[in-house]
Amino acid sequence: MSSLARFAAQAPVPLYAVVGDGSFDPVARLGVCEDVRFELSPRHASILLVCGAFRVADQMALKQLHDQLPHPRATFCWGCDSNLPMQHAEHLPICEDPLPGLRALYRALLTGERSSDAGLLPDQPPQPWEGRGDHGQGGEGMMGGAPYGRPMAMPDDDLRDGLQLDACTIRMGPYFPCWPPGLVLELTLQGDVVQQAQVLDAPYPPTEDAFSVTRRLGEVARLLFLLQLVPQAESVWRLACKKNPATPADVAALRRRLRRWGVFAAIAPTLGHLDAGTAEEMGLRCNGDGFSSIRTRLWQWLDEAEATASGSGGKPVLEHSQGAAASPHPIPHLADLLVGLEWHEARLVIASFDAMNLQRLASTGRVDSRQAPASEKGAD
Amino acid sequence: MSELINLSVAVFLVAGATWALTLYTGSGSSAHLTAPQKAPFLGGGSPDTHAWQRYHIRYYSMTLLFIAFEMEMMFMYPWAVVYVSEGVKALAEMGMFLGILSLGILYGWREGVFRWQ
Repeated sequence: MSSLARFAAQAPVPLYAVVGDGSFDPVARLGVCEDVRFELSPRHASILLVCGAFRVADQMALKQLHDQLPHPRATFCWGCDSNLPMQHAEHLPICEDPLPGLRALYRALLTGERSSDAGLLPDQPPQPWEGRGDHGQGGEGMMGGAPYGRPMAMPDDDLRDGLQLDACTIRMGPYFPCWPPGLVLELTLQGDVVQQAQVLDAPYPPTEDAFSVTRRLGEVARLLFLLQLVPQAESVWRLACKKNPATPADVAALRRRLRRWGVFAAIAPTLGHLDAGTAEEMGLRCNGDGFSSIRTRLWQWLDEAEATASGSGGKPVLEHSQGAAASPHPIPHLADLLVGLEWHEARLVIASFDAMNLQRLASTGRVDSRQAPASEKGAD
Repeated sequence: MSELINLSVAVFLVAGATWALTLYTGSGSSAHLTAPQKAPFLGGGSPDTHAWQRYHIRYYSMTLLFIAFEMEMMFMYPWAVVYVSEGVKALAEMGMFLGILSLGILYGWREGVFRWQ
């Protein structure tokens, strides 16, 4: 079996990437390599790639992701500080190439030279499966307590026509695929319609190269991926991450391809609506009808990428006005933009803002500090 | 007969090999999942409730209406075949049938079944 394991180790290394603060570009360039395969779920990965700096509030999310990897599993820390909860992880500075270390780690896992990492969280459900009766029976909604530690969703009034539908409250964590790293949203969903939204943690602040051609094309690729145009998204991603930066001709060709693929037609014209005043405050352009939408923001990204590639465009002027509260066009809160949208539309709206504007949207007004759920507080 | 026996043996061998492979690789069984692995993947977040959501059957009134017209059609198909040979008697019987059904449709019309939203 060791020969079979060594043969299997030649496959691309399946890993789940956790992007911390300031590590988006190195991880993105790694994703283009054919020796690794970025999985969309930790259940399909063998190695948890942790890169960058993390907040104290992210520790629980890291533990949860680590434990969701199936055995055999290991953690590879690339450019991380030492406050991570994983104890037996491989460490590497950010300036070094992680590929040889990843391949060696994957091979060691498959051949059994390295044992699988133990779980960091206890193997217990969040709460016992007990109802209200003396013998643990009964409970709300005929569920007999909390099945597998979580109660069933209970009906709540629907936003659209007043019919009662089950409302499911979840916290979309900081490290979800095609999700702004660090953003934690508490969503109440009925079906796939967002009934309530709350920002628990803002995304990581943008870095200095937030306006580069690479970053703009990367945002376009993320939008394509969310539109289920996966091969097209990968081709745009390779264009963004290639060694020589994209030229204006590349961006112009990309614009024609996007129109041919039907990307603009796939996005509703009024999705992600912002009025003219708010758009101007955020440095966004408006269309002929006087509002900003996902389509206009996508066009703006392409224009900015083409201008930056040709050297004619400087860094967009996005100064945070000191008197934001006194501005006649206050920036809305991200949660207010998502209420009433379907899940797919909500993801497109979140992905249509670049790092700078998303930081402003998520930081406006109320931001509640994230606390560990009561059921998991005793895990530490 | 011998071919049937050979085929049966081959099928049992393949099934047994598949079962043995499943046992050996350890996949397909959820008994060894830990509590964090049983939780849904939310990028590090956690859910408050299960995702088993009940939904409203908004098309219920349309379904009832469809069944009513469908049963009417079920009787009209064979009736149309024998109508010419049977004559006025068949016409009268179908007229009575449609009259009874139209009472139900009138009732539904009053109750707003045809009101689209």
